[in-house]
Amino acid sequence: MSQKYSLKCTKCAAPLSLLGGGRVQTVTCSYCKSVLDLNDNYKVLSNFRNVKALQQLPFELGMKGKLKEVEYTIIGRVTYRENEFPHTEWSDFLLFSSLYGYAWLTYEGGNLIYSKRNRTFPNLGWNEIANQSVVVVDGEDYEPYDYYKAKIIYVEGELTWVAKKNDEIQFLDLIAPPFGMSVENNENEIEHYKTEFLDSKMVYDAFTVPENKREYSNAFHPLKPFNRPWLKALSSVALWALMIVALLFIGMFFDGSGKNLTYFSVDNKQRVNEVFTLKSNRYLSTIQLKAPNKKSLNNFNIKLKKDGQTLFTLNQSNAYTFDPVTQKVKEKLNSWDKDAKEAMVYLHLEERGLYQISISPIDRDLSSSLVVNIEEKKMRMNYIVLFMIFLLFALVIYRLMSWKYAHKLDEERGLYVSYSDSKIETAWGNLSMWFFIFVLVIIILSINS
Amino acid sequence: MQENCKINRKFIIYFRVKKEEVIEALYKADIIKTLNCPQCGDVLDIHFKWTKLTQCPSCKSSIFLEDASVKLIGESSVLSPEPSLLKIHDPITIENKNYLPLGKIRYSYGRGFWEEWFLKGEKNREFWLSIDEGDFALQERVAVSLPFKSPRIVKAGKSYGLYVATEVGKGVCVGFEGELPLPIQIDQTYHYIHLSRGGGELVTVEFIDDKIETFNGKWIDPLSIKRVYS
Repeated sequence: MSQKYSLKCTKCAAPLSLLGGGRVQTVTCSYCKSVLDLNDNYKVLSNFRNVKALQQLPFELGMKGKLKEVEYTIIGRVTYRENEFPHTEWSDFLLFSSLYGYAWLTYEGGNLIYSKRNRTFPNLGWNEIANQSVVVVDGEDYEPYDYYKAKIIYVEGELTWVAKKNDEIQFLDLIAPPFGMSVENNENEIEHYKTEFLDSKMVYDAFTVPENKREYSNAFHPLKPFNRPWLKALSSVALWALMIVALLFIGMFFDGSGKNLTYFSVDNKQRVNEVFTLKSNRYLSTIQLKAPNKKSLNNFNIKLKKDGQTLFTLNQSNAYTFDPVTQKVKEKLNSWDKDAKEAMVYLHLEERGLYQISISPIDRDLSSSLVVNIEEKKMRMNYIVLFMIFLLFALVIYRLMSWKYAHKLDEERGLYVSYSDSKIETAWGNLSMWFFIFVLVIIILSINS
Repeated sequence: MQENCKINRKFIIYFRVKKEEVIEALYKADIIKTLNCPQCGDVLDIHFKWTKLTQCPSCKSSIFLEDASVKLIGESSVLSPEPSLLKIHDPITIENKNYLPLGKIRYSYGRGFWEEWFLKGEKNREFWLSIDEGDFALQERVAVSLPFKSPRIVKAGKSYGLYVATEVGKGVCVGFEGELPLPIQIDQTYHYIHLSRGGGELVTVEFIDDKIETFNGKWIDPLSIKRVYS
């Protein structure tokens, strides 16, 4: 609970005011940077006057803002530097609410973490925590993530403990993104804080930080949750869609694999007229042309008729469909490539019954031959295969990014954590998914070939 | 537009009156007995069966309740108003259980203070909510077998049996408000020890001279405290 005080700096006599309640232990004079001990007649404990200019931060003492439904005032700041390379620096801003007490807002290169004292952490010693694979706090599993030491390099405003320059503190971080537990060990005691990664914009808005002072970070942070809701949703939808399409694909593969109507060969000696009966107009009908070389294939004209009316003509240079009534060209199509030895023509023949196919050589002196195979009830798989590939991509992309994030998390982890059962289960789950995808790809490729 | 504003304002005023009426009605329904202040004669509403101490709302006298009689023990100082989540006679819920704040004791620890709120729980049970700069602990006064012979030897950070002493401190009782189930002495120094078994469970040992009282409970999230008629 707070009582309001006003006092003067015992070093430089500058006016000081205390905003931060009864637990404040030290206040740093904003003019001479002396740290005054409130428990000992405002005795000067240390001085930060000669500290080199620190980076300007978006937050200042006295700023007010609403975080986690609580109105806070920023009353103090401590800046730490990690002992080990790369000597990361971060600043903790002490927040105070007369109703809800103290909390911290940590600023680290644009990332913002909110933390509050936790009293429900199990009674575990420092070394015991680091050796746990998981620590359960309030029903949530926290994994030990990192251990490091840092020194205080700068202090400003009011603090609830005596902070001196170069004081060393050990930190042990546990994570369950976006939440975490920070265990802090100084000379006197071990304290536990529950931490939470916050959206920077939301915090800046809450404290009405001017736009030009706002800094955002896209860099990795262990508490920043891997959050791709759209990709995750797409992945889930893709998984179900892929299963349905795969079933359809299998059904169509058996039903629409084609039924042979006629099979014959042609050469350059004479024209061949072949009659066949189309019994089913489900799916498509195909005319498959196979020649020993490209010259052979390019040496034939193909004409398809029904009841004496031309429906379709084809050679290497052009392909046309005709209106069966007027016999006028209905549509011009692309023909096969000049260098091709084989061609497959897919036709949607609406009427069942007798059809006649005429194949005539263009140059009767050019030695050439052609094998023709006509089938009905043939399903064209290209589009469905393309769709399946798209679904596969949609399924895999989220998992791939998620795996990449987990890999990065492991790379950055400062503590070894043994795999828990749930992790193994997840790994098996992922393995089964990859196996399923692998089998599907093999099926698609084998069918397409 | 103007008309709508008027209607809304009327509605808000009406609602506020209704809410206060509801609280007043509940507060009156909770009265177990009424006595008269031996100093000014005003009515003293008693809400708890085992109330030992109450403050006269009119003359601020401290009145000790002994069996059926009342005894004036002096005029108590008026506590300075401070922002608080709780208000005497304004019922609250904590984790879906109802509590009625009936009184509070304020202890000073130098530059600041903490408050112990006496709450009447369901089935007329006695609870204490300790509020200290955002740390909230809900406890019951129960006998706890302590893992040490004397509380004076306990040091913060040390383990005692299954417990770790997380805090050892003292405070001076500066005053009270409302009614309390125990007598207190203004300006008396109270010593306390917080013992933790981990997981938020908390045992508090309070002692003055040789008299020891123990409280058992847990730390709670202040955001879980909801006023019933907010």
